Amino acid sequence: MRFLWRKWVPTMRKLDFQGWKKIYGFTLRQQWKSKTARIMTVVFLLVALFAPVLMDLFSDEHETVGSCPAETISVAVQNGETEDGAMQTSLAQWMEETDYFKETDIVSAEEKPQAAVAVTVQPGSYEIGVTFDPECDLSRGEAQELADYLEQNWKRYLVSANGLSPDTLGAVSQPVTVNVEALEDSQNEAISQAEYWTSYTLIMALILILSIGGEAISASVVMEKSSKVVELLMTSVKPMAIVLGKVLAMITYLLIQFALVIAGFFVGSTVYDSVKAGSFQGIRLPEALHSLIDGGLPGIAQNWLVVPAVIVLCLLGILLFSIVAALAGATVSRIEELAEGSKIYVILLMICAYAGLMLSITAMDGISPALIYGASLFPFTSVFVAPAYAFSGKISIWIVLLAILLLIAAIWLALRFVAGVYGYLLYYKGSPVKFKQLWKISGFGKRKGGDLHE
Amino acid sequence: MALQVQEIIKKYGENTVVDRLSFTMEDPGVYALLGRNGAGKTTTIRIILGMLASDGGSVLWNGKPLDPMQVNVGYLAEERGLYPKYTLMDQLLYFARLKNMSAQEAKRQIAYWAKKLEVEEYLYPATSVKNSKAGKGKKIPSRKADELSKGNQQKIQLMAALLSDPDLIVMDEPLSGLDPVNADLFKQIIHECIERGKYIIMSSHQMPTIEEFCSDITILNRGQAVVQGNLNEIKKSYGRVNLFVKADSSLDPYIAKMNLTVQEKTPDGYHLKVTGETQAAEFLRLLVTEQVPIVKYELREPSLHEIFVEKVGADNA
Repeated sequence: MRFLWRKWVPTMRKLDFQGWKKIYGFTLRQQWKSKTARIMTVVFLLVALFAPVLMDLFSDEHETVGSCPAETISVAVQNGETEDGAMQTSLAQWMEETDYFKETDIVSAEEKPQAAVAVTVQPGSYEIGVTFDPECDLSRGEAQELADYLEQNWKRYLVSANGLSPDTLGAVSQPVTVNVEALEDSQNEAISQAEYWTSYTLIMALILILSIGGEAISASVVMEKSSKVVELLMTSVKPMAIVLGKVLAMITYLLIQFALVIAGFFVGSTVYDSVKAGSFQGIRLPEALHSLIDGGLPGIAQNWLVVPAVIVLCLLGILLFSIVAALAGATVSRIEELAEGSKIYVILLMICAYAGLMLSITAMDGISPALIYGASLFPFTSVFVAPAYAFSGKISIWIVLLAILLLIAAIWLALRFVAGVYGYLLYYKGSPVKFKQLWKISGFGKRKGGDLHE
Repeated sequence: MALQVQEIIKKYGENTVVDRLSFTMEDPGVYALLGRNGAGKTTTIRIILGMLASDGGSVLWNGKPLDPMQVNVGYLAEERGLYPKYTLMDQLLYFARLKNMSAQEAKRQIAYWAKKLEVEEYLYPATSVKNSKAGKGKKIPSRKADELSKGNQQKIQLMAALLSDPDLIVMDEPLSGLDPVNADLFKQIIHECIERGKYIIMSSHQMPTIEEFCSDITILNRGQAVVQGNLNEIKKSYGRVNLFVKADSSLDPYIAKMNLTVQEKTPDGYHLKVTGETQAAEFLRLLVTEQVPIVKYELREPSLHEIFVEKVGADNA
């Protein structure tokens, strides 16, 4: 038992980490000095600043602006089999009073208008059809624009036709969120759609960070070897210090970029909403995200400490994957071989991320709590599963704290493994190393002290 | 201070690349590690510097295990090792900081060595260029490693190795690829290091350079030391067996008569191998007796090159 303890929990000295801060500082400074990094930062920032505009433009709630492209329109309303003259008249009247149609004449069908609007009243729904004359100066896109306007503003017409005020429309138009909970049903932890989208958003963000970050970390590590600087470094620091310094530097760089993007998103959203409203609306997220947050984060209301715990969990999860990415970089000798060397990292990332996604999809129909706890605690999947479930209140903060402890243990072992093999890999020049060979070298395998030349 | 390498062993699978190697440096100076390609020199150096773990033996510095984290060691690697896209100044400051030097001291040392190695133009390019239109000065950063020639990169690497004024300096092929002027510059610096009491381990294939600096050598062959000790004593042990004779007439008949081995025949003279001083004296007597007009007659010990080739040449592979 003591042997197993020593084998699996090898001792580490403070000296093994000596110098990591200097490596961290240098790597971070050089990363920011790089032209590519600066250009990427500017591009991401610009995308983040204009994203609210783009989101609004492509959103279903977007209001058509401008005026009706058709010069003449006819209106017909059919209620079942019969013509609804009253509604026809009120619709035509509303159109005439609306700014959008101020340059459009409402004519009868016999006058061969450019577009004919036909409304069919059905039980529980309205169907709006727009027929346009292709020989007139009206394109399909313009006819679609007219149809979109009518669809988006139909409620306004109905409110106006029924003598209600715009405030009533506002009250009627407020978003509705739903939340379903079973009473004392601990065997089935189903999630709502909003919770699913929260989980999906978090997982996608993590995939983005870990994909870009993983490649950057691997490239940074292989550069030490390909430039042969590592031989000089090894007279001053241990391999563990190099790995730790590089990994933390790249994570810091990525998180700063991510923070800039989020900040850009807030700024862009605030400015855009304020410009639309004509006055400062306060710092806010785009409308599209509000319902997501309102629907998917009841766990925060239960215990606000979930937020810092999840942040720590995410940071540790990123660190764990980053160490694996560093290992991927160490297995190759040249930057050109990085794609092959990174396979194991990419596969691991995709498996764990998609496991998180599949769990979320499955959870909408109900899922065993044991599966949630297991995935929330397993170090490689916890970062993809635990945050969303913690925010939605499905797992307690104690589970998150336990996941953090397990992540710390996993990071410790991973760091030791990587540092152990890095010393061998530094002088290896050959085809990319397979995991089986690494396992032998690390000493964790049966054969202690194996090497790549066997 | 003393460096002791004791019975170090390194194996890669079944292949023993360093086999129970031992040597000691009691006094400051240059110790040479020689050997053919693949003999184990670089592996030995890496074990000494703690970059590679040995499978046996120990390396002691002043009686304690040598730990580069605690002993100030400078290393000039055989291969060029600089970040290609980072500025030279950034890199040198970084390497100095890793040796726990303060920024101020690092800059002072960089300035000193840059002047000595004649690389100031790469580290301190013109600090301002007048922009005639804007009338503003523009600062030019120091050059990047990939903008320098191999020789200049080597100078920068030497700077990195010497910045922290290390006690132990390890140089792996320090003069490789240098032009004669830069080679002389490097030699001058090595001499200065010796005068300042540094311990230097040098690995090189350039025998004249080794003979110029090194008092003690180890010649490795397949990981084992085949020749070890003070260079002068090693040469003396071979005796004076190399004879150079230059005459105004052909010496072939006399060489054949005495059955001497001709190592090389050049327009300049004959390089002969003799069994010792006695045979050399007999040959001289013969030439004098035959009234051969001798221009030059030199009996000397074998060169390090000759010893090296004899010990690790093809026949000994």
